[in-house]
Amino acid sequence: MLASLERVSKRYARTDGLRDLTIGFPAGEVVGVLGLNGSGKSTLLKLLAGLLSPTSGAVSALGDLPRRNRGKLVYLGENDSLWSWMRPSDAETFMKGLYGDFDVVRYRSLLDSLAVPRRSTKAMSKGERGRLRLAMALARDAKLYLLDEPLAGIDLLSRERVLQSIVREWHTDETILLSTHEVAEAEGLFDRVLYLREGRLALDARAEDLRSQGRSVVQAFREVLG
Amino acid sequence: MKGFRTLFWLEARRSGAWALALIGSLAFWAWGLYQAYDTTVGIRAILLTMAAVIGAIVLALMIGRLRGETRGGQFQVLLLTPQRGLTHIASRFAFALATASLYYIVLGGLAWWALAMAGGSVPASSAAQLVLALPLYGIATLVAPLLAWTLLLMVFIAAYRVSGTGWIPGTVMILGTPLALRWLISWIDRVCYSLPGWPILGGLQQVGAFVTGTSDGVGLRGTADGVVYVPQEPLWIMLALTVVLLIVASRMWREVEA
Amino acid sequence: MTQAFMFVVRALLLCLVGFWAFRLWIGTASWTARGVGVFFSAVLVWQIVAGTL
Repeated sequence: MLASLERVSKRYARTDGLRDLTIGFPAGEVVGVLGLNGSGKSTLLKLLAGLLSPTSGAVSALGDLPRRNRGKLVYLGENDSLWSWMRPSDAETFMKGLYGDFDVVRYRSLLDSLAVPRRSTKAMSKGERGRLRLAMALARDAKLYLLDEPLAGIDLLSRERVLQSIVREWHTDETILLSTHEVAEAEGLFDRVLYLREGRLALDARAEDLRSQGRSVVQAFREVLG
Repeated sequence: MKGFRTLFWLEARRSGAWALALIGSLAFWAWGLYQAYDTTVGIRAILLTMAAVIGAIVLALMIGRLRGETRGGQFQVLLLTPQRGLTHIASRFAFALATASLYYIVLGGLAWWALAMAGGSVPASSAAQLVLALPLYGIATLVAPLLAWTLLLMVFIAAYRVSGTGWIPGTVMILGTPLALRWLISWIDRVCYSLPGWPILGGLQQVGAFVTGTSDGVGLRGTADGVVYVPQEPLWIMLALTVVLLIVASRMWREVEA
Repeated sequence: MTQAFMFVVRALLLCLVGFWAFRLWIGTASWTARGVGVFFSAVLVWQIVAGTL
């Protein structure tokens, strides 16, 4: 298993993020993490990224505690953000200096394909900032990618560019976990889908199994979580 | 080293405007000292003291903007990097310390200029001590620990952001610090001058006589021939405290949630 | 009268600081932060008990 959670619970001050979740992620999958707001999607991804510690249970990523492998996995958060003065060239300096697996050529190519403007992030729209952060993430050569709502709040054309880039950059030995509310747009991407409800796993299914049952990922979403 | 260089570059870009504004403010203090030409030495001493205190506050605010980054999401970006906490903390501290060194050395130069305007002739060795040794002593004993404490405070507050503990961490640390500092100062006072004091500002009889008449316990000692002595114990103790605070902040950096 | 009043004030302050220490202990996953929180809480408690606050 590339990453796993073993009976993991995460409790916040007033709510439960996850409850007794056990799940494994082998290499080579593109996994959709779906659920309503507050279902635990971000908590799951942050636990795998090492940004949160479980209240109970064990989390493993790339064979070790996620915190120890921060340099070997990619996490793209919904709320993480760059400095307002940063341009794509500054982001390149930042990534090149801190990550040994950052590919500058791939980054510049992604900036072009994602149509990221060459100005500071404070002069960019939300979609442009999101695309810049995605270019930074996909330009790294990691085995585990954790993308939390990469499509949130961005326009349709940008979302299409983002999804195309993810498909283009993915390699068969890599695992991508992608959480999104844009289920219909992203469902073609997924090998497997996890449906979370109130911190628990409501359904874990392979996308082709759903289709063979005559259901789409969206339909299953409505049935399980509706 | 590459990681440290990149983080130092990041800090310089983040805080460069603050650093430039702080260094630029020295022009204001120089103008103030010049305007105070006809007044007593005391007025100029007050201006220099104000410049020193305000400089320390601005440096602490500059380094303390980590809290905004915690809310803004940049802290999360930094936490995800593979560099150790010590690299992150050290790069911020190093930039602030470099800015402080430049600021206080120039301030030392302004003090030398103020003395010269007052008609005092300053021997070259005393000028070097006034412009270099005293500011660096002040940085090591006062400014560096303040910066390290500020970094620790910011990371300590960040450690509680996810749990929503609110203002409690900051309040406890801010209330507890002066009390802990009181014990530290009283201990330093007891051990002061156990080691030989360092003579500085030899030949400045006005200053030496002033200090002889007013010093008490921790602090400068003056002799009638104008040599002022500074105790070396505060320097070593506060440097050690700075290192401890930075190490604690570094450990916490790697453990915080975001 | 004053002594009784100060006793009550100190007791309330101790409860408050004790509550803060509890929140600092449970509010983080960082053992280093817990240690720092306990240290400064202990400083406050000592000052309250020793009567210098």
